[in-house]
Amino acid sequence: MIASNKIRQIRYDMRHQSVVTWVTLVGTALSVFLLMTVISLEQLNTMPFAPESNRPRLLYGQNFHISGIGNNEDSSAGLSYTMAGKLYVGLKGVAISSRMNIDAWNAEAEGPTEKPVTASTRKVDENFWKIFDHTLIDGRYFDKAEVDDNSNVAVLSESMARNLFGDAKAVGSEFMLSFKPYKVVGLVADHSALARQAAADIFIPMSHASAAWWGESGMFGDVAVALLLADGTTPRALRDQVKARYAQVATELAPEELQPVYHEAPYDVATVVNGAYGSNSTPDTSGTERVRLITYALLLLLPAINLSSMLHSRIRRRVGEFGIRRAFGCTRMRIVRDIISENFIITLLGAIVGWMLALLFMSSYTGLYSSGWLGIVGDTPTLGMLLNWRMVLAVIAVCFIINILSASVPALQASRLNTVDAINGRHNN
Amino acid sequence: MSIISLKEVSKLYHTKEVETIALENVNLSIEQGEFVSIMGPSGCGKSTLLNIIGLLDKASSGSLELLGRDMTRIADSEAAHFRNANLGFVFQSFHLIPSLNVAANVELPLIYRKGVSASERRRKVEEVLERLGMSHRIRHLPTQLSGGQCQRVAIARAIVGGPQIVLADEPTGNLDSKMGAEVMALLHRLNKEDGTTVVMVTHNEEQAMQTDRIIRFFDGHIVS
Repeated sequence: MIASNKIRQIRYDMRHQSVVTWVTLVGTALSVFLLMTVISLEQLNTMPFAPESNRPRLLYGQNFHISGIGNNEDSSAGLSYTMAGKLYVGLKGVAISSRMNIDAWNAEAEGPTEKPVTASTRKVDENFWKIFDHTLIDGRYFDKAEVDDNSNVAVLSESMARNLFGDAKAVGSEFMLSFKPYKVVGLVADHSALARQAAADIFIPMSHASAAWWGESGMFGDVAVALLLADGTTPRALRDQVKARYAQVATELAPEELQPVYHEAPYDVATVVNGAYGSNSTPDTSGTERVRLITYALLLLLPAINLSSMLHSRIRRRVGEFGIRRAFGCTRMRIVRDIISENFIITLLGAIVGWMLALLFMSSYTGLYSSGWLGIVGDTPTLGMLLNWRMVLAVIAVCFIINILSASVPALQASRLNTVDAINGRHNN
Repeated sequence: MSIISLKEVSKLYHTKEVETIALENVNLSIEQGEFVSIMGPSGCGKSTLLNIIGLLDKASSGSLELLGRDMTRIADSEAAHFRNANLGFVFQSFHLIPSLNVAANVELPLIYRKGVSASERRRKVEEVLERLGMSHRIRHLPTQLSGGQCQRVAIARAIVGGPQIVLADEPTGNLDSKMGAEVMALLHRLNKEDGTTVVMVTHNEEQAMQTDRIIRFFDGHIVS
């Protein structure tokens, strides 16, 4: 009955203080929508889905930084094929490692169709296909022998095959990529545009010969290494090994008066995606975390301030009621509790609506990438991935925080009203 | 036995410019089971006195005893519990909570009392509404009731917790004479049947004459 009285009060407010109450409800819904959308979008960055189902177990080594000993030399860039091998290949606790480009690049591809097209292209080795679960729809992936031989073979996405050849029967056909002939050996299903390190339209072998390199000692290049952790291996254990390899490389470079600078590599997906790194700096994940927390705090605080003034307005109209409640034995603490719990119900209602809106938005957002819009179709994170207990807890936590932030001050003010003044409808705040 | 006892009670209101004396050295003793009316012109301190007896306001000086207990320095939460257990209030403007129906309004004091189950609350509410002839309006909202019915509900709310003292501030002030008479009859019934002490502020000489004692107030003093 006590709870139903709170519901009655809310229904009454909706009828008799309709603007303020509805604005409160809609305001809460919108702020929860915004927050949940931001959280969901962030989740999409690190959420595992094909072809990046191994995201939680993946680390990337991708940069190299050297500084001069006793001179001002300082250089940093991606890894050369050789340096990638020295630092990252053969580490204990790694199930599979793959040399690959960390970023795909745009290249001109031309098939039998009339116009050349710009294709997102990525060099990968034979292990790439074991780490990233693309769906092979025709042909095969290129193998170790083809990678070692630096063969001009390619695996194409289905849509790229259609672009180049007019249909998806491209296996065995040839096309030009950056003015070199390549033979199509396999076709993979189009992936979600939310894929990152596994994404490309054209995959070609990453070999010692094909990898770019520069720098006097061939230390730098366009190679990165994806490391799939074996069960039970921690990123820390891997970093310790890499650090030891840096020490070995330091010995090798000493005669050249150079030393490598270690930056806590390899990095997890969240670090790579958030860009919280540079080739010559150590990722500041705490800084990124700080920015994220400040964003969340603002997203919570701004609506809370607005809701607080709304609640204040609603409470002003109920001053007499609080006086009466006090007269009949309600303590100040109980007034605070009642207002906060009443507000929590409204916040929760708003939050449920906001959450639904966020799911609806995310549904259309992820749907955008799987509906063929921009010609991209394929595997994509599903809405179900966003419907998990963490999100439910997050919604409740958000409600709770908004509620406490918005209701505390008005509730305390209401509880401190002079009882006689309150009964007579007088308030001084 | 004196159930309400005020000794040298004064109440001053301070503003930036002026100090107003609402009560000055009031001495008053009310016996258990008495029906007392307080009369006097507007602004003479009647309601202030009632608020102090009802622990809704604090005296600036002097002492107050209720049911033999010194209330002079009672803590705020203790006062709330004391009011809940021993005092009932009836106001001129009824002061029913508009969002709650009759049953929920009457139930209010019981909600703030520990150890009263929901079923017991429901039973008591139904009993008191039956007694006051309002059981047919149990699910109505205050806006759906007449003034007289509202005041009946307010009286039901005041007595549902079984208080020893009911404080009524001009309970018939907003009612026509017929309704006013009905409300007065209810208060008398309450006083006679339950032995509840009733202290009523009124401007109505006729109604005051029906009570056991009339205390006349003027300018913050008891004059007779």
